[in-house]
Amino acid sequence: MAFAERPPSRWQRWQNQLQQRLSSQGLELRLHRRNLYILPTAFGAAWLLLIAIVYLLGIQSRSNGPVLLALLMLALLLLGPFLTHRNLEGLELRCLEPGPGYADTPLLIQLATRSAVPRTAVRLRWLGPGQSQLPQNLQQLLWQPPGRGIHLPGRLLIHTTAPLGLFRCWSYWQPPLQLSIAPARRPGPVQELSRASCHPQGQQVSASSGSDNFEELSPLRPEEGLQRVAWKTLARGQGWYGKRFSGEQPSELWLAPAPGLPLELALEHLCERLCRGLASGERVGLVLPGNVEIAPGEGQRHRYACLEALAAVASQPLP
Amino acid sequence: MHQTQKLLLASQVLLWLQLLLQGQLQPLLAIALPALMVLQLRPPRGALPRPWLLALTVGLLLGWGVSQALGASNGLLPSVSNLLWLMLGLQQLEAKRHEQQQRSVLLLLLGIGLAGLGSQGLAASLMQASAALLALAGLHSLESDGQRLLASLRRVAILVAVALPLLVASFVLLPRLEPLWSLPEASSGRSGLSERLAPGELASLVQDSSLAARVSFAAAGPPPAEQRYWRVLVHQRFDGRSWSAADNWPRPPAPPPTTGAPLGQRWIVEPSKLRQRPWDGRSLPLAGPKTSLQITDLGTLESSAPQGERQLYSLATGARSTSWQRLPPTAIDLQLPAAANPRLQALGRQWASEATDPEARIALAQQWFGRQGFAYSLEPGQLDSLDPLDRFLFETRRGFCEHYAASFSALMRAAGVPARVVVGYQGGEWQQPAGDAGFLQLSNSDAHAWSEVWLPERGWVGVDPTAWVVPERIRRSQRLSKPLPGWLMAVATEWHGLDYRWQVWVMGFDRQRQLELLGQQRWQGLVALAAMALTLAGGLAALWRPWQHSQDRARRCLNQTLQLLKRHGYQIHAGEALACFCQRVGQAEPTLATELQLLAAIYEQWRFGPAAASSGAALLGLQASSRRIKACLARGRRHSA
Repeated sequence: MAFAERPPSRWQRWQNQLQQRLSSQGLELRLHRRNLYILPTAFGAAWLLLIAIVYLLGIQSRSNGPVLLALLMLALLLLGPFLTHRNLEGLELRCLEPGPGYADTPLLIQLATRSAVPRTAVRLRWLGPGQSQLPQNLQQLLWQPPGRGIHLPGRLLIHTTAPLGLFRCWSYWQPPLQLSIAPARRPGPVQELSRASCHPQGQQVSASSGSDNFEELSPLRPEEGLQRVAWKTLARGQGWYGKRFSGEQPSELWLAPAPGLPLELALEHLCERLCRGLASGERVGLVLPGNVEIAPGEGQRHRYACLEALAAVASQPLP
Repeated sequence: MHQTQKLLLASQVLLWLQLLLQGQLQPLLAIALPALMVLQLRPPRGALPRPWLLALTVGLLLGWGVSQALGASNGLLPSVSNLLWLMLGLQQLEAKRHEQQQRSVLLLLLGIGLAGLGSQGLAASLMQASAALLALAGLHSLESDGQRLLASLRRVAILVAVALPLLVASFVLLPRLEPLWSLPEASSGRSGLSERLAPGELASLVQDSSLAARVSFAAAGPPPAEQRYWRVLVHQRFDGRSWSAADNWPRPPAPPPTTGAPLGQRWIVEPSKLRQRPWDGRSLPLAGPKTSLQITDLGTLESSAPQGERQLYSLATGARSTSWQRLPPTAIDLQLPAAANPRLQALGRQWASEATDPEARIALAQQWFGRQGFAYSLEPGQLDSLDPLDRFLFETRRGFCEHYAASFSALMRAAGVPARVVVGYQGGEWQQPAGDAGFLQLSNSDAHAWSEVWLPERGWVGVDPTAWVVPERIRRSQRLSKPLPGWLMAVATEWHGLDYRWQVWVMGFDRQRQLELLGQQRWQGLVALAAMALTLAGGLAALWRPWQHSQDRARRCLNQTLQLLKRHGYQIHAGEALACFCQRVGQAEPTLATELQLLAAIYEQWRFGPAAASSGAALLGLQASSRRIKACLARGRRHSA
C-alpha cells in the first residue's frame, strides 16, 4: 500500500469527510429522500432562460402563442424535479461479492436490482481515476483494477437526467467490497517444485478425478470445463453431465515464483501457469513469498484461494 | 438515423409547413429549409464534411443578407425570425453529440415561439403545438437512450397531458404582464383597404379572401344585409384622379369612455396598417384598459393601439353615437379640380339646374346610372387618361365599387351636394357553428367603397351607387366567389367557429379578459400559485398512481375479501398461508368452506401458476368468488340477526 507523500490538506480532509458523509455505505443500497441529491443541469438553466425569452416575446407582441409555449415549458420544468427524483427513488441495489479478478481485465461485479416501477436511463459510474470509460448498467458493474493487490473499489455514482434532462438526480454509494486482484496472466517461467521438497506431510489423497477409466456420470460442475462433458447424454436432451473417471491419482504440482525475476513479473507468470494447470485438471499448489503455502487442490474454491493468495502477496518480501 | 434526429426532423418539417402556409417564410428559406432537411436525412458520404458545412453556412447567411438588402422582409422581427429558422436548420445538420442535440431542441422551441408571433389561427397553433410535442419527444428520446420512437412520443404525450392543468391554471390565473417596452411598428399590414382610392390605376382587382375581421353580436342573428356596412376610412380630398383622406383633420378630445352599457358587438380585427378600425357607425366603444378607441368627426373609429397587431374591442349596443353625422360639411367636401373630368362636371351642373333639392339630384343620378348600361367588373382595365372618371362614366362603363363611389361622389360635388367616399367592408359571411351564437366573418374581398352625401335635414347619409348597378351583390351579402359543396361548407363553418373561439378565448385572453373573468383581486398572485401547486400535485398523483403500482388488481380483490372477513372476526395471522387461513375460516363457517377453498386456489394459480393462468379469466373468477363470499357473509349476518 502506497502512502500519500504529504498529509492531506485541511480542504482535502474536509472534502473527504463530506464525501464519506454523502456516500451510502453497506452492500445494500436503497435510494430514498435522504441519500438522493438533485440539482438543475446546465441544460435546465438554458431551458429557464429560453422560457424567459419566449415569454417576453409573447407579452411584448401581445401574442398568446409564445406565452402558452413558455408556460408549457415552465410546467414541464416544475414537473421535472419530481419526475427525475422519482426515477431513482425506491430503487434497491445489492452488490454480490465477486470472486478474484485479474489485474489486466476489468472485474465484473454483479448487482441485484429490485424496483417496483420501471426505470429509464439510470447511469452508473465509478468515481476514481481510470474508471470512466467502462460501460456500466444496473445488472453488472465493471471495475478496472489499478493493479495487483487487495483494493477497495471506491465510490459509485448513480445518476439520471431522465425524462427531459432538466435536472440531474444522483447518489453516491461506497459498497464495502474487498476486491482481490490477482496478477495479470503472462506466460513465462515458473519454478515447479518437486513433491518431496515442499510437501512435508506427504499426504495421500484418495484417488479420484483421474482420466483413465470411465466410472460414472454425474451432474456437470462448471469448473470441470468442456473436456468431461458427456456429449451423448447432452445430445439426447438429458442435460449437462460430466464423465467421472477413476485412475491414478493425478500428479500434484507445487508452483513458486521463478527466482531471479522481479517479483511482480514472476507472480504474473505464476498466475498464468496456475490458471492453465487448474483448467486442465491438474492439482496445483502454491508456495509464495512470506511463507504462504496453499496445498494442491482443485475446484472453484481452491482456485479462488490461490488467486486471493496471489493478490495478497506483499510487494516487498517480508524479512 | 437516430430516433432523436428523426423526431427533431419531423418537428422541423411541421414548423416549415406551418410557416410556409402562413406566408411567414422568405423565398430563400422556403427552399433552403427543405434542402437542409434532405441533407439531414441523407448526408452525402455518411456525414457532411466540415468544410462543406462551413461553406453552406456562409453561403446561406450571405443569401439571407442579400435578400434582406433587397427588401425581402418587412420589419425587424420577421427578418430576425427568418435568420433564426435558417440557423435552426443548419444547427440540426451538425448536431450529433448529446449537448448539440439539446441545443437544437432549444433552438427549435424558440423557432416555434417565433412562429407563434406571426400566426395565431387554430390551424397554425395546432401545427406549432404538434411541432413542439415532437421536439419534446426528441428531447425525451435523447435522455432515455434506446427507447422506441413511439414510446417516446407516448411518454411525452402523457407528460404534456399531466402538465396541461398546470399550464391552464398559470395561463388563466398568473397576472398577465403588459409589454415592457414598445416594439418598432411593423410596416406590413394585411387589410385590403388602402389610404388612397384611385379608380383606373388598377387594371384588375385580385380577390384576396384572407380574413380581415370577425364580429359577433349580442343580439341573436346577423344584422340585415342592408345594414352590413362597416366603415373604416373616409376620403374627402379629391384631386381629379384619386380620393384620399384629408390631412390635419382636427382631432376632437377623447370622449369619456363608456362603461356599463350592454355589449353590442365584439370585434377581432386582423393586423392592419391602418389606425382606423371597422365599426357600424352607430355604437359606442366600450372602455377597456388596453383599447383606447375614439370616434372622430368623420365618423371613423381610431385606435391608439400599435399597428400591425390583432385587436379585440367591444362596442356598446343601444347607444347611438351619431354626432359625427350631424357635423356640417366644410369647403373640402365640395372641392372639385376645375380642369379634370369636364364631362362629369357638365353632367353634375345639368342635374343642379334640373333639381334644387339634394335628394332629387341623387334620384336623377340613380336614374342616370340605371339607364346607361353600367356593368360590374373586377377587371375593368386601366383608365390611363387625364380624366379617368370621364372615361369610366362615358366610355368604358365597367368597374367595381371604387369606380362607382368615386365618380358618384364627384358627380354630387359637381351638382353642388357635399359628398365624400367611405371605405370599409360590406356584407361578410355569416358563420354559425353548432353550439355557438355565430359571427360575421369579413374577408379582404368584402372590402367596399360607397359614398356619403350631406342632406341638410338628415345630415350625412350613405349612398351606395354600386347597389344601383348590381343590387344582388348587396342583397346577397356574399362575396363573389365560388360556393363550396354542402358538406364541405358545413365542415368549413365548424372549423371557422372553432377557430373563432380559439382566437377569442385563448389567443385573445389578455389582461383585460383576465380582469373581466377574475375581477380585481388583491390575492390573484397567491391564488395563482396555490392553483399551480394544486394542479402540480394532482398531475403527479395522476402520473404515479401509487395505489396502482403497489398492488395489482388480483391483490386488491383479495385484500378487499380479507378486509371483509376481518370485519367478521377472521383475521389472517402473520406468516399464515392463504390456503391455511381459508381452511381455518372454512372450519368455523362451513357455508363458506368451498368458496374460500376456491378463492385460495384461484389466487395461488394466478400468483404462482404458469403465465397462462394469470389471465383475465382468472381475475374474473377471483372477483366472482369474492362477490359470492360477500353475499354469503351478508346472508349469514341476516340469519343471525
